[in-house]
Amino acid sequence: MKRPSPNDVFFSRSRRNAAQGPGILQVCEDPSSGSYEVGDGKDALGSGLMKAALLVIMPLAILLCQSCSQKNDNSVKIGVCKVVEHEAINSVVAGMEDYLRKHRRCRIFVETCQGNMALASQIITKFIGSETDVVVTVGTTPSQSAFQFAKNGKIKLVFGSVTNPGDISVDLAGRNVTGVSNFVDLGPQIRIFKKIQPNLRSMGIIYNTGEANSVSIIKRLRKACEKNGVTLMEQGIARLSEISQAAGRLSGMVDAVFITNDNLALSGISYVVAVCSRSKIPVYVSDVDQVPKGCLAALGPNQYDVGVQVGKMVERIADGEDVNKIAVEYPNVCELHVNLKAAKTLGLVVPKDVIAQAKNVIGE
Amino acid sequence: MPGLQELITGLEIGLIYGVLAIGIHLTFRVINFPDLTCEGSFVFGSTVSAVLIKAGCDPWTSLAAATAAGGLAGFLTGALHVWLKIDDLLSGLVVAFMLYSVNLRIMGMNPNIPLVDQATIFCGGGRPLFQISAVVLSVTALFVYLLNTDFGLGLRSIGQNKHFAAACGVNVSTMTIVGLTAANGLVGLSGAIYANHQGFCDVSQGIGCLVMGLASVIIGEKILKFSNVSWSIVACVVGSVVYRLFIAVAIHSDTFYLKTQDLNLITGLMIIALMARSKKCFG
Repeated sequence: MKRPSPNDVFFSRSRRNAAQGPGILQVCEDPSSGSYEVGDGKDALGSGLMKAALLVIMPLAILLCQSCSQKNDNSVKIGVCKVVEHEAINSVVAGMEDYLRKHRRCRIFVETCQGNMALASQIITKFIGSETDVVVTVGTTPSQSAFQFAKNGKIKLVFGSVTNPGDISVDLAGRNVTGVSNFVDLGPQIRIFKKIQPNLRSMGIIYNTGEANSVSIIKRLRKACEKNGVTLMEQGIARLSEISQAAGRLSGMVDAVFITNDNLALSGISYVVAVCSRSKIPVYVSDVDQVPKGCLAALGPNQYDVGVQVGKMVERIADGEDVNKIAVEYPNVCELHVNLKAAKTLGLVVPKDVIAQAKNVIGE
Repeated sequence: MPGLQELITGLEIGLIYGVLAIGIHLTFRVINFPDLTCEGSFVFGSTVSAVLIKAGCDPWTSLAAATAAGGLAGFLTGALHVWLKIDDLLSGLVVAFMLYSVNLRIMGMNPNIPLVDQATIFCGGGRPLFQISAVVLSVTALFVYLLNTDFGLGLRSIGQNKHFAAACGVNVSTMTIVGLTAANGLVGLSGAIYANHQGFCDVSQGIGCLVMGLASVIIGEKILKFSNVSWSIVACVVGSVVYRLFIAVAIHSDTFYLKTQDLNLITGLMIIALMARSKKCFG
């Protein structure tokens, strides 16, 4: 049998005792944890409860003071909750803000829930508490969190950048919610890629298996590829560190790599381009803002314009239109962006009619 | 009253995470096992509950199933550590890692399940606070009772000194596994209530829950300083609620011309202020 170590019994000298005089040593056998300081029980109970009460009252008081100090004016109050800090998402918010500031007197509060759904709920309730006229959520998960409050009539909700509005609820009618989806038809995209690369037989796609947006796109992409005679090779990833291996694996097997509106894959787009251009494989995207990073082409909505579309919707609601009478919209215009610098590196010649069709050509 | 909705939501989320904090207290403090399983078992519980509810199962039964699922994850971690002699940190890590794929499989490769139009535990009407309080109260009562029994004493002894516990006739291996199972069962339960409350289940919702739970445990210990097992369980719940109230205040930081991106900084500073304040200030 091993001898018990001295750790079994904790010696603790409380500060107050030390102040009163030396020699009062408290001995405590504490089976649950060694980290407690020990005072005499009654005193600790009293002060503990007092502190707990203080900690609860302090935030309460601050919140109350704030809600009393709010100014009353006739400008429209808009609360925005975006899912993460991300280029595409920020451009949506920027588009919306610019449009609204130009057209109305308004106060816009932008919050980020950092991918955390509990935080999203708390942000939405802040908007409810401060009597926000319209709540805008950008991204799928905050929209879902906000829908809990919209369906009870506590907020008027406009969502943006939700690829599949069915993820919020299959039945959105009459539940105080509308918005702009960022889903773009996949068929035309694949047809443009085939115009650029007539011998496009197989296409690889890198996506985050944990992102609802991407998974709903993948399901439709399978059908679209089948229709256009392209074999789809799917490569799921769970974190950013896996992306260069995923790109490496795909670049040996396919004629092109396609990245849709997947936040994770778009974060690592530079890796993908670097790996793929080594084996002369072009990278296509759905987000036109990513084309300058070395992607060959993109046919998709301008995220900023999607934001403007959201802004217009918010304006209609602020003007008194019933949110339930506004149907969910899809991006109005799709732009084609082509990167000729990338084409040169890949040794590809982009057909003239494709270039003529493009809204923006890089490296002319 | 203005701001009431905000406080109630904060309180609700705090209570839900309080269950998670009790679980983390059981592993990190009571049996002294650095268990990293919870990021996986939290989502495991919520996916099991969401899938069962979607299949038409009674929501309260789905909570029980979620608890069992979380417990299974904890059991696996314990088994890896005790029987296969895998390092304690690694066994939790590897189980959480594998659970990510398992969760996606359970959800039918769909990372997000909406529960909006389903019968969740909150469909009975009234504020969700009632149902949540009922669950949290019963869980707290159960574990306060359990830790004060002879069995609980055995559980606590292995966290203090394994060799001495073994010498006193406590089966350390069994107790480690039992502790991990119970703790992760709670984590799974917490995840399931969370999914019910949010109205959807997402495969990424476990991210950061370990740090948050641990922070709640430590905040609770700091507020309710008792060398008493029963109070330490209550402290977890109190800590978790206080943590949420901190965030509720931090969200309002824009009044002081701070940006929303500063949220983590503000929350962190408030926690540091709470931790660092000396005993003199508050008596």
